Amino acid sequence: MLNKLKELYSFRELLKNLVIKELKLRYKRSVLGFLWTMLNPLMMMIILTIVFSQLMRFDMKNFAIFLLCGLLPWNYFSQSISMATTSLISNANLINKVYIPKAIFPISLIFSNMVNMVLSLIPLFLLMIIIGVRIQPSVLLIPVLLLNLMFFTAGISLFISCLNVFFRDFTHMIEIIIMAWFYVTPIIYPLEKIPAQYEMFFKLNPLIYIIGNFREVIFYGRIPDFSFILNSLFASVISFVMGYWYFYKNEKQIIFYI
Amino acid sequence: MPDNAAISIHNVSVKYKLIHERSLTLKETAINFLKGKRDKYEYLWALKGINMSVKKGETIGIIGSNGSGKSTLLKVIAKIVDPSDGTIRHNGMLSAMIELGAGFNPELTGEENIYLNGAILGLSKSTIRRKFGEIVEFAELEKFIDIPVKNYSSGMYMRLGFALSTAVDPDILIIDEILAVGDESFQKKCFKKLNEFKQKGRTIIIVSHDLNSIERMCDKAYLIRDGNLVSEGYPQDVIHFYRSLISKGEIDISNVPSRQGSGDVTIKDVKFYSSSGIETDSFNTGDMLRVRIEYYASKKIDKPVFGVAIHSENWVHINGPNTKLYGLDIDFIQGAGALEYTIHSLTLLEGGYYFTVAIFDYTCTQPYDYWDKCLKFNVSNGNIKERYGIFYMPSEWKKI
Repeated sequence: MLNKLKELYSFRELLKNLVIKELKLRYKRSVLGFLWTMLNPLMMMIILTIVFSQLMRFDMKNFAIFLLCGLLPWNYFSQSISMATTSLISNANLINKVYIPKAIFPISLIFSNMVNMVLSLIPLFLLMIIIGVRIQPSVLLIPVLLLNLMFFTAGISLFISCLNVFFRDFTHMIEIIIMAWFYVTPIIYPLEKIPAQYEMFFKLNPLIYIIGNFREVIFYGRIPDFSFILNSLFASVISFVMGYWYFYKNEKQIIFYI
Repeated sequence: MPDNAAISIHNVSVKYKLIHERSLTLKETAINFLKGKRDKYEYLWALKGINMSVKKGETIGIIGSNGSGKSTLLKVIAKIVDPSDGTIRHNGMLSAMIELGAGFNPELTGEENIYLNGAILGLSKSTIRRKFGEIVEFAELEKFIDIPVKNYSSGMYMRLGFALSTAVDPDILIIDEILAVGDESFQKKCFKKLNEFKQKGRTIIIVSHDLNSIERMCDKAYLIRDGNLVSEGYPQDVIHFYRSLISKGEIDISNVPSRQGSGDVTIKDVKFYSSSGIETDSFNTGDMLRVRIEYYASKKIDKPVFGVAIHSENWVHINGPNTKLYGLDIDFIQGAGALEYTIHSLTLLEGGYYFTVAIFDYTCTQPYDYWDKCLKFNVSNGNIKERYGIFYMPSEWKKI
């Protein structure tokens, strides 16, 4: 298994190229280009802010910032796994014609989406300055949190991309799963809104910690609770090891099903 | 593994799981699991106990009909498919672009694709940068390198693919059925490049239906049949054996496709008729033979040339008439249409004969569609008593 990781590393040049390809293709022939990375979450934020603060009378100070802190890591997670679902199948031609470690396809999405994620932090900070929310030194933790998020997402992406080769209808299920996951994660509502009697179940959702940490350091400007950090690290290690293990176990079979 | 071996394949088998009533979806799997139903499957052995040893600097050719397992063997050599059994070892760097330009992304420009595909083939960025000029020059794409590949012609696409594959300069080069593409001058260039490779002592593995180029290029040939290695040795001998299997009917001619061409015009159907207009593929010596060729031109094609050819069972080329030589100028074709070729007296002796149909451009160099020996008809002697040779010439004997 470690050999496989080493091999993956030896293909880093290809990984870099695939990431560049992803980014180029996404913004090719669009007038606004990279601006979309920033506009997209901003517009979603505007819609959600209007809905929640005006229509549903959700009373919270700086709700827009609160929302964005959760929405950006969530977008990264959901986009990565929904793209990863078809990443092997859509590269079937290449997989059939030339030897490449197959994990490189879902992994390249992890990186290309991360570039978008980092870029979309720019409008968040601009907005904070405009609205007048203070940026605290705790934001220095963001790189660690991003790495954490990346490993968690990578594990799930590897698992799903491989699973989808064997069970094609997973493509349809993943959208539903993502939607449900969105609502059970405190993104549009704060952690405190979770009903006490269900708290136990909600706490099983690793995204509570992984995404919650972003809100802690950016919105609340404080170092997250130690249990939050521990849980999120634990979740990402488990996710990555399990996802990679499943992928590695089934990698040789992929060629026969693709 | 001896030092002078480039690839050694030991007892390699590959089995595919052939699943009947396969549950392709999670839903079906779950339902079947609850019902206690299992997937019905059987194993198909694509390769059975193959042993091969390729020496460094050798050029080898792998031949066989469709479904014989030769592509699977190539994929095993290229590490794309892992053998179910046995071992394979490589000595040296491998470039296995089984299909030219397989990794091209149509939206990216030629230049961007060179970098992306160079990386797929394992080149570092600095190496690609160093070889960039050479690749572009070889592919003759200087003017087009910054337009998206989707706007390339199929020839340009192939040229770029070949230029990239060889720019890798690998120790072992694997080529699947590419020598049939591109125009004649580019083909010559490819052969020249491959010869340079040979001279540098590199190992080349070719899979092709084009037996002539296998014979010309290779030092050694292997014949694969039903997953077994049935013959190996000098290309002439192996190819001769292969042809004898085909002519004995042990290998179905329909599995030996030698169809090529740009596809702008396609041959839809070819039928043989007797003098009374009945469709048949059995004739007597001296009969009239009428061939009806139906085609479809997807766009307006100026001055096409239709041609046919007859080969004997041991591949002797008997004739090769075409409309241009005959003096029938066809201004243009568009859409569906048909053509008739009539042999007034079929002066062939008893035996089976292969029939080739092709549609070319006016220069007769670029095929639109080319069915090489894809059809067969049989001739019986009828009233003619001659037995030797392949030809009957209307004649008489007289003692004087």
